[in-house]
Amino acid sequence: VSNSGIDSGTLLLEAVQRGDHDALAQLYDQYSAALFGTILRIVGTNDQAEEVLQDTFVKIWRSAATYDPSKGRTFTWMLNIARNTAIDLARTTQFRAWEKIQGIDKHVYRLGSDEERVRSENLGIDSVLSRLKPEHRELIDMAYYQGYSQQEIADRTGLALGTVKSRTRAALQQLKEALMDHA
Amino acid sequence: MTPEDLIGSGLLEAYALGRTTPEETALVEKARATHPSVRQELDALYASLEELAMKQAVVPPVHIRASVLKAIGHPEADRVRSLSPPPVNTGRSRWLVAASVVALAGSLGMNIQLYRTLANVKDQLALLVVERSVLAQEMEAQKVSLKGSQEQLAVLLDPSRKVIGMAGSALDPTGAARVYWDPVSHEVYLTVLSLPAPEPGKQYQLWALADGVPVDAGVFDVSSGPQHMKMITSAQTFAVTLERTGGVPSPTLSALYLMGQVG
Repeated sequence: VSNSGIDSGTLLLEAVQRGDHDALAQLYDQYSAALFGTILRIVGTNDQAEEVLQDTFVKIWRSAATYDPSKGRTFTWMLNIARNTAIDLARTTQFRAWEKIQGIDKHVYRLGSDEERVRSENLGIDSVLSRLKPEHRELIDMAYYQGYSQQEIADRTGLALGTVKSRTRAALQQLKEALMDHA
Repeated sequence: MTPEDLIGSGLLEAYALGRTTPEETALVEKARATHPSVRQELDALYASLEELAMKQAVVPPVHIRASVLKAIGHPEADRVRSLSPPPVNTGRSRWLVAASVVALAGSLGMNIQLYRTLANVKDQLALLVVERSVLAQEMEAQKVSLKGSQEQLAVLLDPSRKVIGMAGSALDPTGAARVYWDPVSHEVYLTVLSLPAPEPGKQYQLWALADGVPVDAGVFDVSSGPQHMKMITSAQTFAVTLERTGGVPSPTLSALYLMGQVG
């Protein structure tokens, strides 16, 4: 995977910008599973995740023109759309109300809890993150999957902002190593 | 803030993870545009997060694809749905699988081709081994033949060698043969020029007559080429009689076919 060259996703997204429906279908075929796995991690239920996945691809279709290749690869761009859409949904009052109705714990705000772990293991998606130290995993969860800012994380964890920043860097370096071990 | 400071600060990580303040975002994006090292660092962070997403991939239910295509107004959403298999894995994996299948097919094809080529080469090698063996035998025979020829030539060219022409008797006036006798080495060669083929059970026998006494010089066949006969120490005349196969102790004069004087 090249970070500099034009990847197939970029070519497809350019076709999507021109209104090529088939190109979006191909993007879906290439990336839907990765996006769905990420979305599931954030919203936690299949129904919500399916809704978010569909919304994500509609957003990709509608906002393809705003994609700026200089700011990162296609996949990252789509991943951020999926993540933000999922986080937005997780944060809506409807979702919270729905959670209450369903009697499900607000796992998205209680990361590292037993429910979270069980869910992740059931999905089979936690094998990489589970290799991280708990404090590193928690940081990635809060920032990446829950969308908290560094200040919010500091407030919630009681850590100094500087510590949050240095720990975030350490967490991602550990993630990189875990991914290499996992390969 | 230098690029190095920025890279070490944790701000790039926070940016890649998605939540930075507007001021921080502006700072990172400016630095990325101006410093390749910052850009590289961010690319690496995104690559990790992309890989994480791939590792955590979960195949969505099949019907979502059709819903998506319908939602974007794909003209053939339904048909596409029926024709397209559900995504079975992540995009990267799908490409890898497709690439693997192509590579495997190519590899299989190549293996088959290589196997066929190998079989051909084996056949050809076996053939070559046989041919080589035949050639080696032929060469060995040629060597022997050449050696014999050289010896015969040496015999014929030897100045001490005597050549005795034998002419046919009344039994076969056209008969003729030559004896090459070396009085020094006592070696005798014989070449038949013309003699009737003997009847079964009969063989021609060469005699050397020394002071009127016939000495057996060996039996011979009516074949082409010089034949090495028995050693003869002394002779004034050579003669050939037709005897029973294997020869006899003393010549049958009634069956004298050839005779010649040592010159």
